[in-house]
Amino acid sequence: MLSKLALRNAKRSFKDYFIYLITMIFITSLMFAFNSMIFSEDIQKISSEAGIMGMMIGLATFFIVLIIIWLIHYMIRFMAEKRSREFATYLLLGFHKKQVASLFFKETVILGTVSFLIGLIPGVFLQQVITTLIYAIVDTEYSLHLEFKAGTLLMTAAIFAGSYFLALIRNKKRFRKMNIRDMMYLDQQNEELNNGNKSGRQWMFFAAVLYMLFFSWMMVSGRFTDGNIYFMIIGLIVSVYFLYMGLSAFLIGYIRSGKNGVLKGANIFVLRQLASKVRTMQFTLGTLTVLFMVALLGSSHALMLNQFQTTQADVNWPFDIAVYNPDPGYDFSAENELIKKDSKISSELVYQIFEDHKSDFRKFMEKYYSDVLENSVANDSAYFKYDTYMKLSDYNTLREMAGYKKVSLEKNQYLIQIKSRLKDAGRRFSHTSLTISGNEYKCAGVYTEGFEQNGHNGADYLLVVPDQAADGMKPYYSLLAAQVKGSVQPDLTDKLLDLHDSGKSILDEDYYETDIDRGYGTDIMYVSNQHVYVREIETKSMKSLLSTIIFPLFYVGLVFLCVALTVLAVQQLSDSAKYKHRYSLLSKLGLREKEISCVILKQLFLYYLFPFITAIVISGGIVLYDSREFFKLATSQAPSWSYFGISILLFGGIYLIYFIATYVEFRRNIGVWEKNLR
Amino acid sequence: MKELLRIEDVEKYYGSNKNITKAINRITFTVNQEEFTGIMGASGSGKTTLLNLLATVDTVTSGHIWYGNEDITRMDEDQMADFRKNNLGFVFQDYNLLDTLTLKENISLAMSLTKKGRKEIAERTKDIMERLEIWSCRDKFPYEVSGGQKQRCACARALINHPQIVFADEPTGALDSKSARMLLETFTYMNQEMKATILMVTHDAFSASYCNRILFLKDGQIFHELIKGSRTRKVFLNEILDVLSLTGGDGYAE
Repeated sequence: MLSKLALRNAKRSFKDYFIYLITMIFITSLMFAFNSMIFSEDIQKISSEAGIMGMMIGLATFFIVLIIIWLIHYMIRFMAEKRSREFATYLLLGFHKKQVASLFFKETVILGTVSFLIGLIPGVFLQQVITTLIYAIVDTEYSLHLEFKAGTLLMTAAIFAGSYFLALIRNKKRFRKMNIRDMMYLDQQNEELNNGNKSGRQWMFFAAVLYMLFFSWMMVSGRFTDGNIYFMIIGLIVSVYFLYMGLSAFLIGYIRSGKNGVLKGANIFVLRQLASKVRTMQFTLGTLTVLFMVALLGSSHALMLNQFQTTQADVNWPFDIAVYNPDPGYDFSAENELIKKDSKISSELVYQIFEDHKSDFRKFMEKYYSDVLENSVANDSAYFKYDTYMKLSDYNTLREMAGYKKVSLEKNQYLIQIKSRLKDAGRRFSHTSLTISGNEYKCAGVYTEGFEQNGHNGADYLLVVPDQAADGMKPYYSLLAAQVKGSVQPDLTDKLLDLHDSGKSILDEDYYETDIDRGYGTDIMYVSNQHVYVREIETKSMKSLLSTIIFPLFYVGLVFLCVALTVLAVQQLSDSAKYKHRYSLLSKLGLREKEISCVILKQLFLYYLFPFITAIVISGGIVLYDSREFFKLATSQAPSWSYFGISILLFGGIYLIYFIATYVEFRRNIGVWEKNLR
Repeated sequence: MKELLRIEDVEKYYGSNKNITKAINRITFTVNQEEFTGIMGASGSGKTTLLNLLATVDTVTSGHIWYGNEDITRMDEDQMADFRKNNLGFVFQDYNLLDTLTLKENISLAMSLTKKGRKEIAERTKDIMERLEIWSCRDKFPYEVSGGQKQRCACARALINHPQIVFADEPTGALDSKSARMLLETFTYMNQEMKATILMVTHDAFSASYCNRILFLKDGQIFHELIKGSRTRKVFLNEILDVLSLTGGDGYAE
């Protein structure tokens, strides 16, 4: 009998909490799809970093589990409160508390199981979409085929069931404590009881806004340091909660001021609804805003990295193959033969980098980093011990190979080839003249095309001088640059490395060349100290490595967004049922159907908009700051608003779907115009 | 006195073809301006249905309801909404105040819906609240005041737009006897001093005795009419009780 009742109740809840269940279904499918990446053979096949991907998804899962527990707990409490009168009736009929609790438990489990099972179906498709995306990122063909691993299913089910279990434990306690009288009146406990008319806490609203302005000022003026940023962020989160604590008071203050807008149409109704809602929901609204912030930050950073990875190949590896050798006299014949064996070389250059026992530019760069960029990455391993020089003729040959225009220099001129993000540093240095073998050289220009400047053609920078000037210098090390036609062997890098490192194991101490004089530049994203770069292989490996961060970030972002939106929607919808009489009264007062729709729209709009706008403003500032910091250390071209803009568009779209669904459902719930006035 | 409301052969049926309930069965009567009319009857006699029909809250099955030259049975939803807004006032048994708004705001809301200026709204709200003696609790929320004050607030809201007629549905139903008496005196004040036309539905003979005229309803039809004329309230009350005892109604005297 109990089970039958539970089943029937579950069916009814399925209708009432449609949005919540849809979200659980969506989260299940997301979870299934991402978890399957951990077990997928397809992913392991193409990506050497599949293990890292698994780890990152595991980490993301941790945060997701926390948020799902919150959602389930919130929803269960919510349903229990709404149905408390019904439960009280069961108790009056002679049910035991345990029986009622187990009835509710059964219902919840039925709902959870159903949404889990339904979620698996889109999950399988989503898994294919994500696999295809990852394959596309590393430029490999993927033919769709279903891969259903028991491990994925078990893991997803375990996470899901675990979340439910944890959420339900806390709820059981509440049930035990409750008495019939409390339950009879629980659903009547609502915001009007502590409605209040005090506008005294307005200062919290202004304090929060002031702090946010201060935060933005700190950010825009670049005053964040590694030391203060964490405190500032904690302060920011606190200020979000403050904002909502003060907002209700602020709204009440506005209503009481009786300004013109207040007494226009049904505005006072909307404002009062909002004020009392914000007052009872201040903590939830604060949490929702933080969730939106995390979601927006997650997806913006994912897009930032994605933008980075698509442009990096051309910037970092303009040559198909580049090999470094510390011996300045090395002739690269063995390498040449190895490459020729499998691929056709279209152009090739073996050349030397020179040094003059000076390190003016290096010192300048270190000072530039510490003084101008206020950053400490320009350390010992960043640069070569001495400044690196290149002959103009070699430079021009390389430029030609990479498809750039040739350049020319007068007898007493030099030029700076530097990473584009450091253009400003190059320009500042260009006022300095160089003295080589007693002759003075003036700077003829700063060039910033991608030039493989992570330990090959210098580290970050390179000084190009006329050939005869270089003749007086000491060769520093030697390089091979080659462009090939078509594809290279996937193990070419290892083979080239083996020519020298054969017999050396990764465990040997000198494998890491701690004492060698070599710099790797100041990039922070995807840095390697390899002697050999093969463009195709490097690109693939970088992309698959970055995907391991990008996908989990999106994953977290999407789940957080949906959870937050669900809470918003469910709140409004339950209110619409609970306070139906308010709208029917408006209708009795003579408001037309259209006007009531307009009131609902206004109310939902304000309610939905506030957390989102707050989140956009705050996370927008943070993304701006992060992308500028990122740009200092990694070359990327897209403006920062583009990542954020796309994120907002993407999330705004999902937001809109929830908004429309809520609006439609809200109107249906109220149904004042369906002769429901009596 | 001028005729305000004319009900002509109004019928209201509920249910499907096989199982029809005639809630209102061919009723015809008129209401004049400045009249305080009561409608009495046992539960299920059709009182509230009739009130809902007159108040444009429900639609008739057949017949006409004329307000002057306007037939509200021919109006569409929007026209009815506008008509309600400009011509009708309501007082309900359960007050129907908005619990998120203060008393003052509850009253001004009704007026701000008619797009009046801020100053006029403030003035008129103050005036009516003072007249009904609730100005002192203007900034209180409904849950902070007594039932009587709530009901007077509902009266103020019903009157704020100077409606042609005020409908009251069991207005004393949720009040204790003292508050009920005060409210009925308020109604009399509204009727005599403010010249409001009131149509009140009640099953309570004591409340009905405050009216000038009473229509008795039974099985959806008017079966009797009483007019107070120059009699005292007490005499009128006894007459009402007599009628009720004849019909086996559930009225009672306090």
